[in-house]
Amino acid sequence: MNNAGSEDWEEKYAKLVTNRKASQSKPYMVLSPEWASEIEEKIQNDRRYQEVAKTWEGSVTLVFKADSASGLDGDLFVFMDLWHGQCHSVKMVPSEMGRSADYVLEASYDRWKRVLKKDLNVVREIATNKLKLVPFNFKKAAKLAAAAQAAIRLVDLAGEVSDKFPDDLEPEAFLGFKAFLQELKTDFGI
Amino acid sequence: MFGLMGKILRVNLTDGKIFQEEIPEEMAKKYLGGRGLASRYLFDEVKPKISPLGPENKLIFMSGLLTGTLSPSAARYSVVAKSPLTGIWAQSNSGGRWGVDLKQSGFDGIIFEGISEKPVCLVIDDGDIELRDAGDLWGKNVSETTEILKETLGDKFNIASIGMAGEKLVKYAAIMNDLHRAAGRCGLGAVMGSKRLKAVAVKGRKEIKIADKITFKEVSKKQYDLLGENILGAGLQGYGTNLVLDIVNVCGGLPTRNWQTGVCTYAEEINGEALNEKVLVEAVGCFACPIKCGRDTEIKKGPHKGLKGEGPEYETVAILGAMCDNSDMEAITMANYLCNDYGLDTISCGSTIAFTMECFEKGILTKDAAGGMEICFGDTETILALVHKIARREGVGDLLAEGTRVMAQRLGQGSERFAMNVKGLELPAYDSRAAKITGLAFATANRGGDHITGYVQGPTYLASPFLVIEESEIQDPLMENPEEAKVVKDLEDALTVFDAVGLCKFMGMTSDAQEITQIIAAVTGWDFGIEAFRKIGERIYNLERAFNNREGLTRGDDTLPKRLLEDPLPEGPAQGHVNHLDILLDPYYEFRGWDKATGKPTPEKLKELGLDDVIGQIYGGVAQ
Repeated sequence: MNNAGSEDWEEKYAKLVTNRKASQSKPYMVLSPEWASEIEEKIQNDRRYQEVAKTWEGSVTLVFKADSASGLDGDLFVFMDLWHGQCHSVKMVPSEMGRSADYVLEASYDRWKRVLKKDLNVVREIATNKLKLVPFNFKKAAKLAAAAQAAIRLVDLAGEVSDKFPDDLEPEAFLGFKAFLQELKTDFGI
Repeated sequence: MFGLMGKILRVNLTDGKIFQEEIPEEMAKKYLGGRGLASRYLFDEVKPKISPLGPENKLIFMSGLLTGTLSPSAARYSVVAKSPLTGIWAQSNSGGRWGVDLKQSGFDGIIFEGISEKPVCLVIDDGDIELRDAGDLWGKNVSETTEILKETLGDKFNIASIGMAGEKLVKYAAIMNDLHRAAGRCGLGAVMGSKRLKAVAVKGRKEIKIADKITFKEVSKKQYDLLGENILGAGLQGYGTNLVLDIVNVCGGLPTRNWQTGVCTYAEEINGEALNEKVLVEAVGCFACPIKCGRDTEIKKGPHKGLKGEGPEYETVAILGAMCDNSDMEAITMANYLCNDYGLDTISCGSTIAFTMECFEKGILTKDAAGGMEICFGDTETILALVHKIARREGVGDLLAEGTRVMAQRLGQGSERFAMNVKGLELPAYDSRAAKITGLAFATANRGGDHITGYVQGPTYLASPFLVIEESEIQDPLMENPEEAKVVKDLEDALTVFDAVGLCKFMGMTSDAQEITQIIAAVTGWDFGIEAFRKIGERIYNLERAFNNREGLTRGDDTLPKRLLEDPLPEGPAQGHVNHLDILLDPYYEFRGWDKATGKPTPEKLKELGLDDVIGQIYGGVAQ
């Protein structure tokens, strides 16, 4: 089943998140639906984000590009529905939904990991084109630059939610996570 | 020589004699070009304690080593002299195209000496030099001067000139080039006016030679490509430097009502988006710059509808806007046009007006003393009227033309507390109480209260590290971390090299030291690596500091206005914060190798930098 955005999909996704939150312990695995849900809550409750993002308009997808180092089989998409300092949702989504966001920010899994862990500076990644707006649109890029403080706060908050990354797992646990991702693909198109 | 033309002009305005001089290659290797070379000449040739507006001051124009080579964003030139506003070393720096044209006319720089009996204009036509009478230009502003000279000489000439403000010796008069570009800070337009030098017109198509064209092309292309689809670059092109207004404001650091608060409640009326909607025509850039942060603008409504020009930049918007409590973008733009045409530094001009507004608000300056004017925050007509009066030194404008330090000395009554300058140079629009390390940078910049000497506003407000230094991250802008004093030192040194080679400092956010040194090595053919890059920057910076020490500057001058040290910000994310400069100054001196008691570079440091000849001059015993 993959009609992301349909009522049915949304309902089943929400149920998945509830079940996962009950069965998994914190901190949640990065790139899991429960991790995305935690980010949503954190942003929605953050006054600083509300202040710095009060004029922001537009959904944002973070694309974690699979590379051989990550061991992941495909790109993963984190969709954020953001508007004027509010965060309406953060979800793991299929690629079509991910790429339909107003702003699609792409970087390798490894670079996103290092940004979330604060080993890399997100603005430096932007300045050196390691983190890219895809497709590049001049006007949108300019708006992103103007929202630098909001972007920084978003990334800071996401990084605070978890430091548990799939490729840091023991081989058996990593295979287990990959199997879970395969289920997400089958059931949700993610 | 590669990169440089290898020659300067020496123009004695008293007797009209002009000489060409070779630049020794060894000197160029130690100081590069631009600010570096100019500072060496100034240190060697200008005695301490001379009057900045007297015949013994020298006005030195110098193009950067990379200027005109087609290295991305390398179009800049420096003007160096002793400042009439601060009484110490000064550099103004400008972009556009004039620096390129100077170089292509055959010369890297010009040293003006003495004072002319009558107004003159220097013309360099592809190596041919003439000092012409400029009596017909005296009394005219920049646009008219430029128009007349282009009609007379030909429109291929590029003009650097002063307007009425420079002629009237306004202490923060600017030198304007390409009509709208300003070598703005420190009042070097007044130095030019004191010499009765009205303009420098240059033209030429001489080749600027490059040693290793293949490597140069490779590295330059990499930089051009990086900026092609770059979010930061797009931000600057999309909004100009006014990109930063919202960013600074959300951090609570946009100086409003003469730094009484750091939060501007009407930022959306004057931010980047507002500028685009209300006055932007198109983005424009300096020679060879892919970023194009300049703004071609036109006032589209109101009493000044139809007027065109360039700008305003962020500083102008913030200072003639929020600092004066003015939300009118059209009025800000008009004030900007006036400053450009008169030749006035918008930072010092706007800051002085804001200071005057607070003095009036507090009853320190009365209506009587203001010649019947009511000088209130937010009054756009008064702002425009004051720009005219300052430039012409009319009425109360004569007082304002002296800058905030002198004004506060004359007015007293506690106004010194909120005269927002360091060493006499008015502060730019970033409140250091909201980003503490920037206070250190203000206090230690060689030319006075300045942000662009060591642009630590990048790593703080923009959270954008500078790639040209090893470590530039600031952990928490609201904390004073002694270790981070090194970031200020490193940025000051690195960006000094940028001024010496004529490079725009925005490139420091996207290019690392390796790339910059590769370009310099490829252009010059020198063995030039990162160590040389760091050493030369530090050498030039210490030489400038020594110039200031020789003028009597001490540790006591490395300070901030009392408002920043003692008055907490009343609102916003930085509410309650002041600057604790004492936490940062000693560590900074240690990183610098400067004596903590006197603020002078130690003899050991000077020897390490090859400045042995300077030691006697700042430690006594050797006359200059």
